[in-house]
Amino acid sequence: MKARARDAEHRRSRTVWSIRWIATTLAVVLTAAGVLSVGALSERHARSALRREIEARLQLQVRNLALSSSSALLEDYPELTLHPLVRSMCVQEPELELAVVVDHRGIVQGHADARKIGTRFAPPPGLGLEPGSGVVTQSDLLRPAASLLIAATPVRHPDGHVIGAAYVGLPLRYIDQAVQSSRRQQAMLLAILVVLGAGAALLLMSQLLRPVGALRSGLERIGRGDLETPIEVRDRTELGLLAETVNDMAHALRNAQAEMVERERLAHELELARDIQRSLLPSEVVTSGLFQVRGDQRAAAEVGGDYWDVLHLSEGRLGLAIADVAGKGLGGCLVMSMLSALLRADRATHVSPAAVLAKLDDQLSESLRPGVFVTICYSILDPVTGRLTFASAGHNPLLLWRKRSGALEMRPSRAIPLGAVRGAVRGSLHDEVLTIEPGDVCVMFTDGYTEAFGPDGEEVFGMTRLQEIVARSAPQGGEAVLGALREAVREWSGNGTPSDDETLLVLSHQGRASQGDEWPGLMAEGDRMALAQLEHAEVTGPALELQTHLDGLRALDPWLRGLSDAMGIPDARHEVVRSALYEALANIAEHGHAEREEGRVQVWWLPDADGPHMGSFVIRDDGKPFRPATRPPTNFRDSAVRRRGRGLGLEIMHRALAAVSYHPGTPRGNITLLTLGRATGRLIKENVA
Amino acid sequence: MTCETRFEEILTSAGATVLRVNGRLDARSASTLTTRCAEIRAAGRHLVLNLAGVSFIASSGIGALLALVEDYRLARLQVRLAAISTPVESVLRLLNLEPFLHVDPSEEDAAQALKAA
Repeated sequence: MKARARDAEHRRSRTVWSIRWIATTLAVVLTAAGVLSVGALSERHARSALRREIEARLQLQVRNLALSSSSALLEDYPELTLHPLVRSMCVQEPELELAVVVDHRGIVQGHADARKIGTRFAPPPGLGLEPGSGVVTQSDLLRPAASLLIAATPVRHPDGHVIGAAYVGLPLRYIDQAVQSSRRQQAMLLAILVVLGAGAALLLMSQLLRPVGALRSGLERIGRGDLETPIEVRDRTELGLLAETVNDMAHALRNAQAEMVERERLAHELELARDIQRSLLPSEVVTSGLFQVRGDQRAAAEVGGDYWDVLHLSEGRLGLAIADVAGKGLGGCLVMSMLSALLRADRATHVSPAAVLAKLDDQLSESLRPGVFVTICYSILDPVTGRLTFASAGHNPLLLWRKRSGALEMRPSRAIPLGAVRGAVRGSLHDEVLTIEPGDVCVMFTDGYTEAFGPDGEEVFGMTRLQEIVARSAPQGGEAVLGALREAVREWSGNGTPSDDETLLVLSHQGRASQGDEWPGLMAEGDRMALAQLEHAEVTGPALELQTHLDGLRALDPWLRGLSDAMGIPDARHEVVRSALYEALANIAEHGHAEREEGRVQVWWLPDADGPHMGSFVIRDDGKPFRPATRPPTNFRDSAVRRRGRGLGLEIMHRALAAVSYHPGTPRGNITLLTLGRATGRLIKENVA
Repeated sequence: MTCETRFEEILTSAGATVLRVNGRLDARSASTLTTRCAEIRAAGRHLVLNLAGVSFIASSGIGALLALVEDYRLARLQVRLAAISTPVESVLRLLNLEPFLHVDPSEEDAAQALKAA
């Protein structure tokens, strides 16, 4: 501001050269120069023309005088004729200074002054006549002599001989006087022209430059920010055009200014929206028991529709939500806020995630525009049992890295997104159960991660890379997974603002899956969960007791058949569950009891409140504590593996069950938990397909 | 309790032996199955295993099936499974093993397939 004021001050104090005065002065100078040069040229011509004219007149006069004198000179008293003749001539031509007629002896016979008659004529020196002669013989003599221009001619007798001479003289200054007079007139004309020219130039320039004032004040107005008042110039010259251009420019500036103000207003509102959105997301790591939940979101340039949240539910349970609203901008942000409010509103009643999502769909469908939908994965973690019950409405798959096996399990969604097809979402939703064991890491993400564009703008980050990074970093825990994924995606897509929200939610079990020697406290926590399950099972109903040898295990069949019939479980699923349960029991009989007849193992079925056909088999025995070795997935494509034909029992269990956890050597003996989820049924369907 | 798994051998004209298995295929009966099949293989005969009567198959039974298919393949002989029961089918599908075993709807189909081969 100071600099601008200084510039304005400087402008004011500077001498301004007026265009009208410059133009006027120039017009005066040019006019004067023109007139003077034309005058100088014409004077030279005028002087010679004047001289020629005077000479011709003089010669005519002298010839006339000579002619008039020829008869007079032949008379006896020529002076009587010649004196009045010369005198009247001098009266008529007062500028003549000399008019003389002499006879052949050189005696003056005709003169305006009578006293000179009869005297000897003294020709002026320079005329070239002999002194005392006074008679010219040469016709039409014309030359200057002394201060006069003299014309002389002989007077001839009618027979031709010379009888006298006539002289006429005009002062040379007469010519100068004539020229002087002409020059005076010229100067007068010059003065008049200069005055007229200057006046005309001044008038014209004033007239022409009159719009400049209006233009200048208009531009100053624009400079002060007044873009509303147009410059009023009705002029047909280029200045009028300039004024119109300036008015157009002011109009364009006004529009641009309005747009800029609107843009700034929008940017401000978006920033507010972004702040609100940020405030809705948890900012800290949430810990419950041995579980930790951490999330991260890198927001896109616009406000996005990604959402993640950790809700504190009853009895220390946690609700984990991750969602992606199709559509960015304020619309997406509003839906996301709505989602957050709805989820939080009745969290006290959350038991089944599928039921929560179905209710959300009912509530959202009324307000969502057609084409706007929400993919969401909602899960409920029971930190005591380690059970994670989740339902996913068209959201990206949930990844679970198993510490025990080192394998990465993927749970894709089979349901459709909320708001996608009215009335169809509820039927497609179902709960799945996972048991998160010590060291396991569960990862949920939005498509901003898998669909992050690389530097070429074509290849996306992709699911494979994401899985590799999770598998590689999961042994170091949830924080490492979060850091590694964030780092990898940023490195992949550059450090600029992402085109879509990148949201990540990582759940990790902080317990150690080792033998427990160095972490007795943590082991006890895992076992406490199993003991709680066992106690729950014992309260629920009586156990099936089996002898720990191959034939003893056959008693499983009628018991399980009864259970399946009671629950309406289809045959195919019954067979799969039977195989898995048999394999678990056969392992215990073989490794824990060496198939001795006196050994016993007890089995309970613990149904799950979250859904039909779901629950866990709780197995307890007092045999030698053992834990199956970490099992890489069996590769049946390898013919050597097929030929060996071993390790299939664990493969059956892991394929048939949602989760298997071993708790050897608890105060109540060895506890094995086999969890059935919807996944069990799905796996069979996939295999059939 | 005694082992009730029964094996019934039938010789066919096409150089194949049909072995019908009835009862449970667990660790114990699986080893019997392996022994019987090794004998048939030693006689240079193809094998059709009729599993219609198998009420349960344990992982050891599955392992035995996989191993004998490999052994037969090495001996340039064929094994075909015929009329597998629901318990067998469920586990084969669970483990996605059908691509590695030749399964036919009936003994006749299996015999036809052997002839065609």
